[in-house]
Amino acid sequence: MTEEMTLKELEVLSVKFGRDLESWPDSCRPAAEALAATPEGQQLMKANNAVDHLIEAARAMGPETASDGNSDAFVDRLMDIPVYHHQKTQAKKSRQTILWMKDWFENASGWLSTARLASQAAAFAAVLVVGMYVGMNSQFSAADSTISAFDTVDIGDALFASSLDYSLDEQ
Amino acid sequence: MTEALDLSTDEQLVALVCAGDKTAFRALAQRHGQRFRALAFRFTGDMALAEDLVQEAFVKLWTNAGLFDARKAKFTTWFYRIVVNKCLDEKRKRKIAALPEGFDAPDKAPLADVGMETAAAAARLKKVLDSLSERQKTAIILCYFDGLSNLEAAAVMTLNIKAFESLMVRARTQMRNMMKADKENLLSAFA
Repeated sequence: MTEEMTLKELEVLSVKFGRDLESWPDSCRPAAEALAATPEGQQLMKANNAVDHLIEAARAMGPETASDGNSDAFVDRLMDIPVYHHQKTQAKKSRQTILWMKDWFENASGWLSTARLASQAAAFAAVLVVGMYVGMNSQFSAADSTISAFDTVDIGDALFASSLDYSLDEQ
Repeated sequence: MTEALDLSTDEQLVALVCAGDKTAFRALAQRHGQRFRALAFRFTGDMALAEDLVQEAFVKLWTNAGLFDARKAKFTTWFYRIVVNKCLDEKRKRKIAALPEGFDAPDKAPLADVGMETAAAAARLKKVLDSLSERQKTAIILCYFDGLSNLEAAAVMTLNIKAFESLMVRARTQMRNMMKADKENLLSAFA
């Protein structure tokens, strides 16, 4: 903090340390006190005090003015909430599942490191190449394959022949 | 058992509430019920409404306690957010709703049975606070009425500390200006 303080700085520090200059840190107190002694500083401090007094006066009202004049009745109503409301167990379960999954992914983050991803990709590529190689070298020839023998049977041929027979008989 | 709960932290109690422990929920309600009602009242200016909003927030706590993540925030910070958001939502709803018949009738609650001086101060403060933006008002209420530190209030408002302090400076400047204008109006009325 520089030796000379601006009104803006004084204001920011008031928010930070409160209005009692004596409780401010030594690093900024002398400059603040010097500024607070000037007419502008005094004006600001006076206006700030007025704000604080207004807040204090209003605070004296407190939260005690309960609608039914009995604060405990309100707390009693709160304490009865479990009697009238059920917990959302399903939501709780799905939330727990999500949390579990999140934890799992966080714990398994080692698997997602660059080196591990690269090794996983290399293993995948190797399996792919081996699969393709095996596939290309194990083609069945039409002659020795039972499946190919079936492929040569034309079911449609018999069907059309018999249909033709029927229509010829009718004529 | 109750003594053990009294010594438990809020976060420990919420963990028990998650598991369906009604006693733990009651301990939380007893510990924080009035504090949050006061907060809601300061936003709404209507005690019955404040109680309804806080009750809704506590129902949410009971039914959805699993939503609280103790690794991310303290229970009070999380619950402050819930209550403040409920109050702001309610305020927005009311702004949108049409003015009811007889809206200009004298305000009977909740200041009527409070000392005249305090009531006058509260009314003045309400006027001054109403001149602030929603965020400025929230900052002032959390800091000066709920006694939160700047750091805690900043966490509730999900702001960094610098942004929060700037917000407070602007809020206080606005309050000063409003009070000055009020005083000048009063003086000119007597002149």
